[in-house]
Amino acid sequence: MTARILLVDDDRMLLEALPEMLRLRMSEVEVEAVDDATEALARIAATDYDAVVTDIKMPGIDGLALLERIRDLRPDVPTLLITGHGEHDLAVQALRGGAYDFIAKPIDREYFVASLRRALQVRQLRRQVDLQREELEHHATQLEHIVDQRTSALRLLADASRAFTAAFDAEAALVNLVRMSVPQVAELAVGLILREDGIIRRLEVAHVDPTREQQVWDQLSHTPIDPARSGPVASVLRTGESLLIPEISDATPSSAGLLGDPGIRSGMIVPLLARGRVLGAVIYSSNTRTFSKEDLEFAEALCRRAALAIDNARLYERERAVAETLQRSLLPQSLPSLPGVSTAARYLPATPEAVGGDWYDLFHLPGGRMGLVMGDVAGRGVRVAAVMGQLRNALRAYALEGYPPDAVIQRLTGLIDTSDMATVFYAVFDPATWDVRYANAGHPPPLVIGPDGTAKFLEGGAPPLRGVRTPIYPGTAAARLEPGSTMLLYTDGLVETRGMPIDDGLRKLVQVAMRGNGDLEALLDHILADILHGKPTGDDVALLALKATRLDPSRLSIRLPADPLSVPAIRHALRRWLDQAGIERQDAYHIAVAVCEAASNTVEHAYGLSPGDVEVKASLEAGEVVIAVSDSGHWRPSRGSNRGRGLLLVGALMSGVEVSPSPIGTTVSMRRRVSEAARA
Amino acid sequence: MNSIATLHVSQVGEIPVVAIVGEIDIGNVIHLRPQIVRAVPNSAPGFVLDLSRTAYLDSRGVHLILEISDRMATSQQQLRVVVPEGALIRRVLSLAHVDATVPIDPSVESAIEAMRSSPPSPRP
Repeated sequence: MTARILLVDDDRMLLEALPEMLRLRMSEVEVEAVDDATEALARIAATDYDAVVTDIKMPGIDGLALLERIRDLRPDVPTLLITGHGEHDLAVQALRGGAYDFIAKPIDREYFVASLRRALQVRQLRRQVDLQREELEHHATQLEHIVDQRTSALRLLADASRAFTAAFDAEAALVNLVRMSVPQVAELAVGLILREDGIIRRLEVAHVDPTREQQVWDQLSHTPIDPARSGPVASVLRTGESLLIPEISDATPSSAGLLGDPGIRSGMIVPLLARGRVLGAVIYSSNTRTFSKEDLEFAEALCRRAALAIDNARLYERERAVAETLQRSLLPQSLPSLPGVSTAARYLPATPEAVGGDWYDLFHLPGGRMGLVMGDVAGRGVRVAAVMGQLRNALRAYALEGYPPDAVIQRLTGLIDTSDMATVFYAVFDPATWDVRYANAGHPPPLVIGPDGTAKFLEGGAPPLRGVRTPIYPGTAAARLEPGSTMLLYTDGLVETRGMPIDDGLRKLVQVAMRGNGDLEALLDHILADILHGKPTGDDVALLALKATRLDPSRLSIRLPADPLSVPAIRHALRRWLDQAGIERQDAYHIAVAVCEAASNTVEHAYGLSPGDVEVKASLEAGEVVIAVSDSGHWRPSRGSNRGRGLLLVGALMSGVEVSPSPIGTTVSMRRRVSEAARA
Repeated sequence: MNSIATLHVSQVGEIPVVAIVGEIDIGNVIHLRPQIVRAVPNSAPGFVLDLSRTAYLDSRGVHLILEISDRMATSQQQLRVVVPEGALIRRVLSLAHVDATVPIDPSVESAIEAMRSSPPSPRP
């Protein structure tokens, strides 16, 4: 390597002699000579010389100042100073100022050359060191970059774990996974999860360029991924082993699906594995990068976390489905109805996955009365739900046996363990007399909202049920509803909000309830919105409301399931209506028999095993009751003698009897002139 | 279970008196039949079916009475039905001609008396 030296001197003789001398004694040396300091500085600024040799005394500039300027321009260039005789002090000063060496006049050529050689060597070494340092720095920067990448990868994994733990829904976890994978893992990620039967349950696509996602969806709908077919995805799903294709050639078979697209350079397919099961897979592809083993490991780490979350969500979904089924089976499927009595109910579980111990029930009782129940077994879970189911069924059984409310509740005490606790409110409402007879074992008092909007609680009761130690119940209390009143039953979850005394909760309930005594459904929505803001606060909430109104004296309409137990309900509603209209007892009785005969026929013959309704429409005009009993089934041919005898009775008791079968059902129409009884 | 009627069984001497208190219809008739049959021992000369407190009865009730009557005839036991004068259910029973097959008395006393004075006679 040729060393470049700049020689600066105003002594023309030296300027000519020295380069020649150096060229002779040193191989590979290139000497430039200038006689002017300004020119010298300009050259030094332009060229990185290996050494500078300069006279310490140049015209126009002090030698030390020149040295300083050189060192400013090129701090690494070794500078040798030629000093005159007796300028020793100046020389020492120059050394302190950063000069490499000084050559005294008259110049000792040997010394000069030796000194210059050393200077060049030092310069060479320093250059090497610099290069190495630069390399080291470069390496360090690279390392930093890798650390950064790894850190962001780790952060992504940590974020992923957090995001996945929060997900209770398998599909949301898949969406998260795919979104997080782009762009850290790949430009395109297509995730899929399978149903239990192996069919794809959900696909999700994420692309670095979101505008291109639709294109991927189109492609997927054109050539769907078939987990059962052969191909790389199917094989990953079957074996649970990842697949890495670092380089995708144009010759890659089209069976590779997405990875067979032109422009894709590299791909990998990672299974979603949890607890030894393959739940799905993610297909990663890139058109700029080549996936490495490290990329695959990272993708696997991400997918493992997601798979665990998806599996948890799957188990959670299954548990929730069981809980919901159980809950539904314990609450009435539909509320029984009677003319003039409307009912509505709500059930809000505190958490969807846990079955609570709240229940409500509503059923017809003999004599046209209705039973209303609201209960709460303390605790939650399947065991509590079982206790609740037992109490519910036992209460219904005792109620239908005709026991009064206090006796019903007393009989329930034998059914629960001493370790359990339950509160129960049971009331019997008779729409004919407007009487409510009730017993309350530790339950919050139901609210009665009068037609004028005033609200009062149904007071009185006994402590909660506590197994065998339960005391004898003090008896059945009674109240009378005014027509147009609403009775509201609820569980403590509605009024016992954390951090609020129960009295405040009850007061709030009264305030809210008084504002809405219109439509029952609206009232319940209103209550839930105003008190709970739509969400239970840590406890289940059950609501049951019953509103009793006067019947329309001119017409009556009843629609009930075609079930033997609907017949007494129809009869009692009909008799209440006839009674309210002041129809004489004998007439009322005969009309009731005729309607029940027709309804019984529907129950027995219209539907077979399939469910259907029986509908009764009655009107009273100008001293005549006109009735139609209809169904939407087909009467099968008569069996036994009941139908014949029944229709015989209808014919004898009513006039204008007509049985009209049609493709959409059968209607029995009839009429009877009635006389009004003396009003009581 | 879903009983809108309850059975009250008493005994006057050797004659059981079964009272149906409540209503008889399609919803409960199948539960009433075995209960009534169980209440009458084979050793009894017959029994009185007391419908004085039966508030409702239609063709299902008529059918029940006729079925029990057939069964009593088979076992050569008597059946008398009590329906007070002016009872609402009376017209239904007469429209269905129950009185042509089963003797109807206005009170339990008269039914017991009639049963004691007339020994069982096999019917065709």
